[in-house]
Amino acid sequence: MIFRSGILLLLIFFMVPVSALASEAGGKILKDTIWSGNINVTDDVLVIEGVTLTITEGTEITVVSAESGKTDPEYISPLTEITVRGSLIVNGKEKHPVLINSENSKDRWAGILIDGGKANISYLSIKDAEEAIYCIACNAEVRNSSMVSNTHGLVIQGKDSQVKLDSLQIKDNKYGLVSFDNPVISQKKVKITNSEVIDSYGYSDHIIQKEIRTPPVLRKVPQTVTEGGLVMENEMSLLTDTIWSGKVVIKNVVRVPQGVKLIIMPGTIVEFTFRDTNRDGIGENGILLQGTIWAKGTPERPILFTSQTRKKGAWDSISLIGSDRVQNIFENCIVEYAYRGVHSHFSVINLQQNIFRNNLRALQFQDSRMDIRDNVIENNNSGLQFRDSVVRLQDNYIERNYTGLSFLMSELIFSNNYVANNIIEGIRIRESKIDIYKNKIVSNRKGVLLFDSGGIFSRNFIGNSYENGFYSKNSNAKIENNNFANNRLSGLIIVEMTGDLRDNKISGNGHNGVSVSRLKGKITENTISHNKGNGISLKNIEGVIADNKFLNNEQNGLAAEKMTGDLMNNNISGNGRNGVSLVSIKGKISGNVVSDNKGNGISLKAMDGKITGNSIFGNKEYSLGIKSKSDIDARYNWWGSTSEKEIKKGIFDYYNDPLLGKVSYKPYLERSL
Amino acid sequence: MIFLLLGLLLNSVSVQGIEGIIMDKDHNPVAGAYVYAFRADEKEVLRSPDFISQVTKIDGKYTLYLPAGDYIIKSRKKISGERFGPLETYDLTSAGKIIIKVEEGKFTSKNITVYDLKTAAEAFSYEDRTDMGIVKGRITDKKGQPVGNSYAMAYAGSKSTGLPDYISGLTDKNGEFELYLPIGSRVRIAAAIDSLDKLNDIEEYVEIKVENKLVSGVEIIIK
Repeated sequence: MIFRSGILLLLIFFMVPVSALASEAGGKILKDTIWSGNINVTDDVLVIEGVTLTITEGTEITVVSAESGKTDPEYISPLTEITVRGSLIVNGKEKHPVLINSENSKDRWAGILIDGGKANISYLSIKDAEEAIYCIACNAEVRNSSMVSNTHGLVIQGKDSQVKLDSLQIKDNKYGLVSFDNPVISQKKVKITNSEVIDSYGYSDHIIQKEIRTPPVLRKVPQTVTEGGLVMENEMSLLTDTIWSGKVVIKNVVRVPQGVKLIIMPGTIVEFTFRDTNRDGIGENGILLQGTIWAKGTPERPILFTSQTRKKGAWDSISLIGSDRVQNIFENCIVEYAYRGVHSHFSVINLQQNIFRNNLRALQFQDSRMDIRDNVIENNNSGLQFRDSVVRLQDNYIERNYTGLSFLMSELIFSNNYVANNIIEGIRIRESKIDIYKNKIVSNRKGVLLFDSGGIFSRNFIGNSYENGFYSKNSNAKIENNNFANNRLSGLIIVEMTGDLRDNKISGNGHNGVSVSRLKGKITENTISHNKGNGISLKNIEGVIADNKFLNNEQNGLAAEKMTGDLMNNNISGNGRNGVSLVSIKGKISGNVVSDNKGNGISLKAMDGKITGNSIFGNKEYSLGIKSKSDIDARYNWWGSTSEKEIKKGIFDYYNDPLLGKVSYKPYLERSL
Repeated sequence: MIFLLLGLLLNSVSVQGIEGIIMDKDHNPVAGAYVYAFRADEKEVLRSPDFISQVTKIDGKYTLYLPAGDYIIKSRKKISGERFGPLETYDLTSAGKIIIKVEEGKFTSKNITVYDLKTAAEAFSYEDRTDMGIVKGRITDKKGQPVGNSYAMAYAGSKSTGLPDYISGLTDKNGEFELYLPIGSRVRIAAAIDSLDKLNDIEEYVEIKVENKLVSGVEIIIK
């Protein structure tokens, strides 16, 4: 033991100088706090309502950037974040600015998220964040600051946001200044430069749900919570099967032990008082179940779980922990103002025709089996979060939450749901097995995010997203029969996927219809039209591209770099630049119609293969333009004319620029295929 | 002196952990699996594992050296051979939360079964309560038409009045229900559409004995 103490002292001896360099920060800030010197943010930070965090001049903050599977509802991002619901004052000076960077510049941290809070920021430099500053219903002044090398520089969202921007440098971000839903922004001397995708844009197009579909259940909701009823003052356990009806007031935690059943009758109001012993702003009263619960209301007489303290997180949750394996039932219930409405570990739950609203998180499950049908999940910070669960979600409305759904390592059957108007993202799925079909996913900031997952995504409509409709990374998926329309940025972005993209309609998107980087699979039978960027933009593709239509896109119909595979039987017409723009292709181009494009029909740099059996005509510049020294075999094509002179005129090669290769075009076809 | 100190140090460090065999559902040893140990603290969510075993060989055996304490244990075998990453269709994983106490100087023995994800998620439902079975069926009217928004309820023994002992969720448009019941129980299953506070004595019912984990094809007529 003495020896161990010696080792400890030895360790302390070596550790002291290290710890003296930086203070660690993380967790909830519950009282006014000042940061100065070097700060190492090792976990999420939350400045709660009524509390001020002041950062003094010259403070250097390093944020651990690892993405976690954390699930605490009071936080917003899966990345490490500094969230402000109280006040943030940054007192940087010109010669001593405040610096916030990621621990590793290759990885992202979430950023400063001002969620209904206030901020007064001077001389702040933020790097490596997903959103350097993200304002939701905030009141903020930002002066003399810079946002450099982030994904988003500034995102300001919601009509309740009031932001003054003065003398800012926003540069080298993917997106510069982004505003959604009509915030009030005054700005002077805001310089936005060198953004990878777009310097600035604003967008507002929330869809009113009634215009799309009426909710599944309409109810007469009890509006007033009156005095009286059964009052449960202290922490207590129900010792036998219990029936609640009328009104029940819970002032502590009620436990339902194993073997005991709690039955709640239609029309019951269960009211939780606000008790906050640790003063973190979150209520602690709730129901903890290891037995069984039947909360079975009716459409006419729903059961109401609520609090007189009308704020999100006023009470804790209905928690089922290793509940008895019979089904727990929630039907025709309204659950509001909770920290986590229904929260389950190792339980079997059936949720039908309920409304979950104004909770920090409506539903959270881990290691559970869920059947969730016909529910309305709205105005929560987070709608649903699952981990290690088997979930069937069908016919639900998931609307106006910060984040709609988040699934981690789960098996998901998700059909006929309506996921709309969610402020940050509609659906996030990670390391899961999916079968997602026939859903409407509309007007979310980000539609669907799919990471490290596998399965089928079919017959869905993904439209009007404020950013990309669908983003997939490192997944193995079949994406078929979907409609990706009018998303503000790209319809789909696919990074590292094995799988197929088949028979989708992808139209009217604000950037590319589809952007793909590293795909092994087929792209077939899709109609990709009227997108404002390229119809499809491909890099590092192995697989065939066949039987698609690339029509009337504002840039190229198809742009590909490093492609191994054939381009066959596609219709590539009416696009604003080249029909096909290829750099380094190993494969055959055959059977395609390439016509009426406003640039070249085919623009080609480096090809190992041949161009044959295509109809290439009516393009505004050249039918075929090459940009490399290699000769190209382009025999047996229809060039829109039988005049050799005309055909020759439509080809840009050695005879236009002696540094280029020659195109062999004879013999040529005398009619269209 | 240094060697003496090192010797003392090694002597003062006890060795403990967990060991066992990774098996598939048919009790065959599984090669290529890893065992992951998470410190069982107050956190509800498992982040990155704190300790990882070596990959198992053909005998499925593993040994994981751990500091004394409480751990949540998982095992996985990825077809790709990777230690981390998403579960693919044929990957195997352990079921539910396995909690192990590791005592100083001792090895805790634990054989772990790995399943495909769906089976694993279903399996944990039964590991704690192997006595529960699922009765699946359909509720119809007297003309044989399915009745949606109704539910099945079961009365144990000869009871057929008052609140039931078990209920299902609401039926879908096909009238289909799932009812969880103890294996070995004899129950009367009836259908209802009324709320729990307006139930009448049941007249139409089906009497069954739940003999297996899954009983299907039960048809109930709603009055």
